Amino acid sequence: MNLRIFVLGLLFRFSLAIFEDQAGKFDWRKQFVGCPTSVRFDRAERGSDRLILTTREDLIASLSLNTGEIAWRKLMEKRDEWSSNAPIATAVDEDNIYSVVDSGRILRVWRKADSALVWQKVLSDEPSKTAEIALFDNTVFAAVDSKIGAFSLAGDEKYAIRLSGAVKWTRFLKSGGRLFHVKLIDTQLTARELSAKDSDPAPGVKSVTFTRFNVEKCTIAGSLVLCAHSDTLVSIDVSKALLVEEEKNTAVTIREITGSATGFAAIRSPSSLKVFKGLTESFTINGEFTAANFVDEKYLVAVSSSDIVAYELANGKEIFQVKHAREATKSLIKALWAAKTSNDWEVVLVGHDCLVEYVVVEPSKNLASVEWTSEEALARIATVEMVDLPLSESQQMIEDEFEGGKGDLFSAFFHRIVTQIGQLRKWALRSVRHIFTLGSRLSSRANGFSDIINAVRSASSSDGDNTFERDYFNLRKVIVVSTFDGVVFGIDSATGAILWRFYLGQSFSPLKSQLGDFQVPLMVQRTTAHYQLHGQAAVVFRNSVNSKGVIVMFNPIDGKIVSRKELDGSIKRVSLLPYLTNDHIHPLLVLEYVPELAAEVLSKAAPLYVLDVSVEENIVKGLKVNLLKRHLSTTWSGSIGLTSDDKIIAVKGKPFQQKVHSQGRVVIDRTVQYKYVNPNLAAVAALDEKHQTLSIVLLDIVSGQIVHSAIVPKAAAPIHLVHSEHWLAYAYWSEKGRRTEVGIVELYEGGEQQSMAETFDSMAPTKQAPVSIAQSYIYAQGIVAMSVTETEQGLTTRSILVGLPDGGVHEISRKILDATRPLELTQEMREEMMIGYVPEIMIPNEEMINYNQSVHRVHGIKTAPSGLESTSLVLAYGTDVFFTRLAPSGTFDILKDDFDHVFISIVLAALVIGSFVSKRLARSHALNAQWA
Amino acid sequence: MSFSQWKLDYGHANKGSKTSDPTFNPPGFFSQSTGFQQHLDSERPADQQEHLARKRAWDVAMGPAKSLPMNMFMMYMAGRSVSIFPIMMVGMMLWRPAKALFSVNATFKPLESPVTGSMILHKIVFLLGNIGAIGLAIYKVHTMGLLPNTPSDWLEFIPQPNRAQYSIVTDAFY
Repeated sequence: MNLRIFVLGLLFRFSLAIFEDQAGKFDWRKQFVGCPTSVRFDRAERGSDRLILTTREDLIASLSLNTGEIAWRKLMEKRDEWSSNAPIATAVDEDNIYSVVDSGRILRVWRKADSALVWQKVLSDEPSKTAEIALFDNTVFAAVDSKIGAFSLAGDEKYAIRLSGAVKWTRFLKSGGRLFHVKLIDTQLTARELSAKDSDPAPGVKSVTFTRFNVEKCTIAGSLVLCAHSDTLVSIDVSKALLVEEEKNTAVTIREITGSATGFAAIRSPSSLKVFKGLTESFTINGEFTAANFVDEKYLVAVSSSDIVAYELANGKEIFQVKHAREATKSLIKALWAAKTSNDWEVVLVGHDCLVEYVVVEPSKNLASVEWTSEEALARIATVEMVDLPLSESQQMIEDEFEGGKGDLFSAFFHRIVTQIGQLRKWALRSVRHIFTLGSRLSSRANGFSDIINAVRSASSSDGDNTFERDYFNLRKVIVVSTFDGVVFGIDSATGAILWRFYLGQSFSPLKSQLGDFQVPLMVQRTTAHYQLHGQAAVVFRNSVNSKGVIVMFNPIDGKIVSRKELDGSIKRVSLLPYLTNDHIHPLLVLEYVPELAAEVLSKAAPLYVLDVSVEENIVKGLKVNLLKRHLSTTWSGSIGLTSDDKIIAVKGKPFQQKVHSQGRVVIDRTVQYKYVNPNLAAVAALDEKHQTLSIVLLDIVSGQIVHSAIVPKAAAPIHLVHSEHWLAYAYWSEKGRRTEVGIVELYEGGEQQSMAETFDSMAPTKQAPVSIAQSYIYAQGIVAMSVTETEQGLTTRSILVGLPDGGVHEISRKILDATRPLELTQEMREEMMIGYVPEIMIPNEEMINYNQSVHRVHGIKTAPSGLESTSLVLAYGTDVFFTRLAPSGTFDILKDDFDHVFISIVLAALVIGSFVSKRLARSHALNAQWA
Repeated sequence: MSFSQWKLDYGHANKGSKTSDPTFNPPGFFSQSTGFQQHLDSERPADQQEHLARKRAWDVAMGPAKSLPMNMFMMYMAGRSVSIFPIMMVGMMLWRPAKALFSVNATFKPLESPVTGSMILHKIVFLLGNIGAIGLAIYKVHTMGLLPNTPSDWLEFIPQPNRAQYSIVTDAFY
């Protein structure tokens, strides 16, 4: 019976799934590949030319060369190190791509044309720091830390060589028809010749002590291992019988070194580019180049901040030098790949900001044209904020009308009349413009009735598209995004188009938090609600050169930078202050720099407390911020019951402006259980990996009181927390059940009465302690991200959004994930349509908010309220970005999309006409009857 | 009008009527001897009419109170569920006595006569009966859960409390 009710409840929820014709109407998805680490040009005999990329997002992708669209994309297992810049080791032949993926565990072979998996072999069970692959004599050689494997092209293992030691650097080196494997362990460089025979002939292993080795600045050029050491070039010829270190002073500071298979090496210094053949210098190009690469082993292409140049290697002759200017909002180029076709050059440029540009250079015309660009920084979004669009002109005038209400009666009346005349004039002008555009359109293309209808329709809708102002329901916003690559974007939420972008500079680096993750905090200091003033947002990062904190303030609507401020020291914490200054700005609190505030702001300001968590010592402190004296004082501190084995993994507070509409929950006997909505509550989750326990502590930041604490036995990472209103939802992996479970804790006031109805004071004593109700549910999927919907008044039942590993985003209503679901359903509860407790949370496909638009590797889900109470805006971001509108309780305040306006109007009109006609008929009938 | 002023007169027979001719009369019918006149108002005592009027007035006054048990039974049968028929029944139950309350004088107007007097007592009883019926209907509405008389009904009007302190939770950075 319980199950039947539950299924009935689910059926009710099915109506929330979007209809087929709504797909893509208000949602969009952008797919990215990430910052390319290697690019290969692939000329297909049939079909279009492609680019084959491996990227920092651990994927292999094929892009169409003409349009930049993703032809196919294969996501590999994430590597263990977050910031691994080494490309996935790949080798390519006519048909296939050979790749070593999953931290060197697996060798996978893909077909280039359609990305089909041809074969795969396990290389090792252990993760490896280095991985290399080479094709030689119809044999695939793959080298990882513990092994070199030789495989035939069909995937049969020929032989394997066991290796040991902590490998720092490894390469395959082809020279004179021989293949060498070079690796560096500690300072010992070892070269081993490999053969393509069916078994290892155990050729000689040569090694040499190589102290001046620098992993960052080493390459292979022909048979040489070339390393740069400040201004000296050190080489070892591997093909020789004895490994000997040779060196040459280049007299320049070497920034980067690039080698070619024919033995050329390009050495980039701040002021020039030197080309060496072995250790002999062949020619020098002067200029501040930022990246260089070889093309077909015959040419060298390099790029500076303003030019792209190409030289022939054999004689050092310049082939072309074309202008390629970059705007100030873009970064310098960090890598390039080029290919030569019969009459032009194709160049792929990748900036430090991960902007991928495909440029076609025509040397004959001395012209470089950008065919397409792609903002791959969006594959690594750090923080998202959604900002309202500025008020429209008419809305501003309405605001104006009610603004000057301070004067006397007559002046207020006059003000009102003036503004209303202004509004009337605006309306008249707009109408006239409409009629003119309509008229011109009708005269230009009016071949039938349908054309006229279309023209009218487009005339009425067109002016909404080109003006950039708030719509009626405030559904369109500017999504402001900070990325880990130092680019800040403004994105139009209606279409996903990039409105503006700026680069934070070469010295950008993200902040590393105590909990081990990287962050680029982005905060909206002033929204666009104050129409006389522009909005203001701030992005905070670390200067990678001197580790000092940098704050960049900008206008979130047009991306114009207002100010850039470098602090005197590093940033410990950063947050918005909950107070408004006189120009409606939330000041930034950067610890230990407390901002100076005006006295009148201070006089109204409520006391401010900060939670300080020390992850190393498991000590939690409450700090009071004295804004007047601008210093911090500790009000309480303690271990909150955590043992030394516990490791704090998440701390979640509540947003300081969160609205909770309903102050209680109605119990079945119509009494009220008041919610314990403590805005100063923080949730701390700590994981004890030794005893496999998860501790959840809810504590008051102001008083230090532990409101609730619980230990979940047999729990393991990944842990996700959502803390909102009066509840906390946490997801964990249950080792006991070997499944993901979602727990929910709800807090209610202990007494019958609401204890602090007017002002919530954490310091005030309460008669009874809050009551917590907890429940847990089975979730039959992994969870990669968790978030909760946000609406304007907090009236709508919230939904918890869960990012799944397979790319789905699942919406779980709080009605389902509810701690108060009764175990036994009585008749009255059924009448109230309560849902009985069932341990499983179903995952029907209809509840995936992104239907078939998978978003992979979801890193976070950002929600924002819209002007409609029913609707919440959702942005799920990871490698892909997906935006949609969500109505967690259905669109109760707006007509459905498929509402038949025409039908209703026709019926209404018919009724009115019918009643008039029948009235007349009845009258004449009555008259006739009287005559008869 | 007075219902006691009527007359049955067989005496004044028409000349052309059959009764004037004794040959057509049934046996035993004597047209002369059927002369019969009734004069109630003059013959019956006045206090009988007075009694009747009072009885009638009390009937009207007690009407609502008498229907209370039946209404109770009906309400019991209507059930607790909030659906169209019980709502209609309860609505009628509420509406009819309310209407009656506003037309007390009109109800007693036809009964007024010198013998019944001012009928103030009757009116009070009538009022009480109707108020009882309304009370019954309100009780029914209460049991159906339609009356906003519990704190839960006013829950959505409770504003969110202000904050006495502000607090910040942020990540600490290195």
